Amino acid sequence: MKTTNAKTMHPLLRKFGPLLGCIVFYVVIMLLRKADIINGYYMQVMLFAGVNVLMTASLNLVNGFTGQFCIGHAGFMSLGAYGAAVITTMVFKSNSIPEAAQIPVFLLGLLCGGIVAAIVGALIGIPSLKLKGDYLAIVTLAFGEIVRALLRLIQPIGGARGMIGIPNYANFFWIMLFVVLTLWLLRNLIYSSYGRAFIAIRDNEIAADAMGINTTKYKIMSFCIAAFIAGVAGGLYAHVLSFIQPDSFGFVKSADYLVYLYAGGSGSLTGSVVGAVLLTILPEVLRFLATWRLVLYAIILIAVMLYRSEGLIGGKEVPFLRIKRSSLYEQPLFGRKKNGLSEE
Amino acid sequence: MRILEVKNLSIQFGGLRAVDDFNLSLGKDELVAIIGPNGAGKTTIFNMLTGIYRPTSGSIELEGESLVGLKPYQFAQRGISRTFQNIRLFSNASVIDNVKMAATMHSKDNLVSSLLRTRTMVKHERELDEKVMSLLEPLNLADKADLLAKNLPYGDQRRLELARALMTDPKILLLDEPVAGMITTEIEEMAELVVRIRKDFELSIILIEHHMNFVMPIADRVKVIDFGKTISEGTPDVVQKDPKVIEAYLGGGYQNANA
Ligand SMILES: Nc1ncnc2c1ncn2[C@@H]1O[C@H](COP(=O)(O)OP(=O)(O)OP(=O)(O)O)[C@@H](O)[C@H]1O
Ligand SMILES: [Mg+2]
Repeated sequence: MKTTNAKTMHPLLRKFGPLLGCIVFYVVIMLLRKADIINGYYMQVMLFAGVNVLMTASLNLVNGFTGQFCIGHAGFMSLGAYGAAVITTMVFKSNSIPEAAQIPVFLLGLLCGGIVAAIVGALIGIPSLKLKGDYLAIVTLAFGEIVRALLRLIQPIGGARGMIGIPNYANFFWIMLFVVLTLWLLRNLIYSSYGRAFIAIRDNEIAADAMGINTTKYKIMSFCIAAFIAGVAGGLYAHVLSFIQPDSFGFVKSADYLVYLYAGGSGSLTGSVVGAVLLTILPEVLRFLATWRLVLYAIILIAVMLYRSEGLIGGKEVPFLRIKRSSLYEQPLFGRKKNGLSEE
Repeated sequence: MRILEVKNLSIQFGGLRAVDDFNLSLGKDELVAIIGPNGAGKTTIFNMLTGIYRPTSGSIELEGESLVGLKPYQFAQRGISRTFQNIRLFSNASVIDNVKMAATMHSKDNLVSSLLRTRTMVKHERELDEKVMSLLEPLNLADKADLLAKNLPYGDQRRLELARALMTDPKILLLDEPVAGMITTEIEEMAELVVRIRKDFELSIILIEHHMNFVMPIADRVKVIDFGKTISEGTPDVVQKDPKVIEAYLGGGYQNANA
């Protein structure tokens, strides 16, 4: 259904439809929030859902598209959360930042959080991805726990009690912007020579190597990009909750993301969105069941994996998140630049 | 000038000397066949010529450059490409993407232009797409370009592996049993294809095969391996009549056995 629609859709609508959809979605949510149909609590759940989409989609790049196995993704999230929070709360003392400088400081914090996570990603990725086999799983598992233990020891950032008073800059606008931007960039990456190299490694590493793909380089690249996104997601998380502590980023959190990924469908960006959003909201919806909710949550998960082992979405993508080959042959929408595609 | 010089290539797996003193001097545009019984060490030779195994001793020189110790992708980047005896496609990718994946090393797009999907990047993608389609066309795979590789019939999968190997733009193509498991008509088609590819792409080819009637008409030279050792070599006619070959491999007349 969706594919036939995309084929007949006007190119203008197909190109800008998703953007238009996002704007409409944003406006509707803001109106509902104004009317208090979405209360502050629902809003916060939505913000967490957005953060979880970023985490799951980035994990998907490593596990789903490159075929490696990272099981300590929350570790990168914590590095990003602390990295960003240190910038906004300690370096710049959040309550003394002038209004106009708040956003730049916030974005700088996110960038730093992402970079810290990516650098640490390179440090642990380079040695473990050079080896063939599942070393990455063991190393990332250990890494997640080591980061948590270390953060508990560093007193200036609150030790085990954590950091408080982080400004809650990450409102719906920023979360949505980062989610849409990240999904767009990831989609572009996957439909490029880089993404094809990742998928080749996933599908047959020996053949990828024999076809001239520097497998180690691409694996490290995929891993560092994912770590960067997880770092930014962590920074956003810190500025949603205003409070972070090392124990929120333990193995349980990493396992959550693995569940979101495989329930949604690994190797599909759409799957990451669906998995992360549904499974963030589901426990909240089931809250009326009190302690039984975790039981039901588990049962639902088991049912999904039994009846749809490839995940809810299983390898499919919505039109916005995939690029058809035929689009390479389209004339550009605006004829202003007469080089490039409009030639011949 | 010889394009590939392989001297005294040997590899030891524990107590087993799987390949012992293998020598090959391959000319430009030459087609050499390697034959020998099961377990003789043929695939192991290919694995050394593509960097998957590091030889215990011996040398591999491509146009004067020594390749021993390089990684497999570096062998490919220097111009040695191959197909696999047990097909190794990127099974969950489409046919056309399988071939595009083999062009990764030629890509002119950097990470930023790929992330932003710039106009230039799209232009490169379109050029690649056209190039791959023109490669798939003569292999009868063009109308299957968007199917997943794993859903192709066996013969198509073999030809796809060939297309993929060609996409790396090799100087030397190694074909490991390209007609294994194929029926007679397919074998004839493949023989024609190999001859045509050799001419069109001006390639040197090394070919491993069990089917004598496939190898003999197209090979310039044949090397016969048994238990890792080269027991005979020469033109197809000479090798076929060599008593050592008949004893070790052909077992008293390959024509009856493999017809
Ligand atoms: N990695 C390895 N470790 C140990 N022994 C190996 C290894 N690779 C190959 N061998 C052994 O080397 C010998 C040669 O194997 P090879 O696969 O090269 O044979 P082949 O000539 O290609 O046979 P076939 O016609 O069956 O494909 C066999 O005895 C095999 O068991
Ligand atoms: Mg073999």
